[in-house]
Amino acid sequence: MGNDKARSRFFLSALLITSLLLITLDLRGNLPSEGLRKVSAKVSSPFQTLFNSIYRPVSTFTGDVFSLGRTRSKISNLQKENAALKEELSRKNAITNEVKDLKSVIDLAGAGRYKIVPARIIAVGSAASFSRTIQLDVGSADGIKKDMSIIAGGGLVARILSVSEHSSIALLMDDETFKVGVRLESSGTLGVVSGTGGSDLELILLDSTSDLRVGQRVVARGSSNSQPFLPGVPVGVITEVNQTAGALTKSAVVKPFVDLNRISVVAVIVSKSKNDPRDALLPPSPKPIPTPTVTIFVTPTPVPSPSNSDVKQ
Amino acid sequence: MLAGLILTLQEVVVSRIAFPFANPSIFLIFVISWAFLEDQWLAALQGFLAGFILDISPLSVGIVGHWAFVLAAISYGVSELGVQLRGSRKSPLTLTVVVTAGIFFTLIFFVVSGSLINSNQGYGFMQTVPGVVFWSLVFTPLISPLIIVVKRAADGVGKSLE
Repeated sequence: MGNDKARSRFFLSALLITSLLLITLDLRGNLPSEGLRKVSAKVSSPFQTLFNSIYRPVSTFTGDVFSLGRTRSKISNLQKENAALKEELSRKNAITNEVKDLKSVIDLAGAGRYKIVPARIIAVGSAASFSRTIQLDVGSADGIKKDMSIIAGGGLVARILSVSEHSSIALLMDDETFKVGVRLESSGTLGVVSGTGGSDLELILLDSTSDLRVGQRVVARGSSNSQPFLPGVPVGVITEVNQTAGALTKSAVVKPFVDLNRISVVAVIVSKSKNDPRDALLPPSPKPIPTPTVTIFVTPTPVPSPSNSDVKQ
Repeated sequence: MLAGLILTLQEVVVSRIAFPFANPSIFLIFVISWAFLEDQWLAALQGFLAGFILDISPLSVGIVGHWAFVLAAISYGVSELGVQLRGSRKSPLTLTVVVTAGIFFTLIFFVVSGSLINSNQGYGFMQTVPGVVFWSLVFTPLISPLIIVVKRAADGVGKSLE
């Protein structure tokens, strides 16, 4: 036992001395370590190739498993970044839309020579109250008075119901209690447009013999002293005509020029021009799409006459 | 031969997986476990050869003989401990504790001896010590049964050759 231990220690000493010799030789540059490593690379190369071919299919999986935590945190960061970018984009889109709306409303006011006060809709009447009202961020301090007309890019939107110092409440055109005297484009036929509570309006013509067609456009007739409505403000276009034989009046469905559910920026007309713009504020009429005519020429097939050979048979 | 295969496995597979903290050293777990189960002189020889293989490994950049020196000494010490704990030598718990401690001392000894022989592998290597020790605690109980089986098989082959 003691002999074994002594032999082991001697053997260990020999190994350690060999190691130190190798270290010394390598440090002095007398050991071809590069050559040894090249031989080692040559020997281990087939085994490396073998292990590599076995390992490659699972490497992606193990890599994914071990980097799961990092991937999760990366995904979380990207999601946050994405949400922030979406929010910014949405804000920019809202601003772009507001600018667009404002530009169109200014264009309309410019064409009618109206003096306007731009306003932003800050609240919309609750559906529970069954009234289609909006709250604007302008009030008496901005020169707003009761019964003034409100326009958006396409035309009439609402009229002012009540005014406080810095805000005002307006009744939208599609409210059932809303009524505006109108005139048909070109013909000058008079009627009344009223809200239905839905997206369309109802037009009732005072003269049942008047011509009423789909596509005819409607403008405000104007109230006495231009309160609440100014003449010439576009209202909508007829989409459906209700024909009732023997009725005293004629009615039609009018689609407003302005989508009342998608407005954010409007303008309150605070003073009008001296002249009635008539139909000048209406958007350009859509050009009728030509219907293609297909002409088919039919040439009758000649009837075969019995030949001599047929007769013989 | 077996150490060479384990080293290849370490370099091709284990080292390419991005483990947290540091990569486990299957090679060191294997060498130290084997030394714990082996007689002293054979453990020293096998440690020396395993270290030499590590020294001349194509991916190694250290001084040739450094790992041979460290592993010969550590393997001898671990084997000495194994002889003293002969009764519980093949218990996975004992093996885990001894191998983890052995790996810790191996790395410390490597850094200290490296500083003496002016090796460049020092501080950076030292940083991996906690991670390597942690993974040896995780991996040794998992692979020790396999090492014990392989060791028994190798002993059987050795006896039949005698």
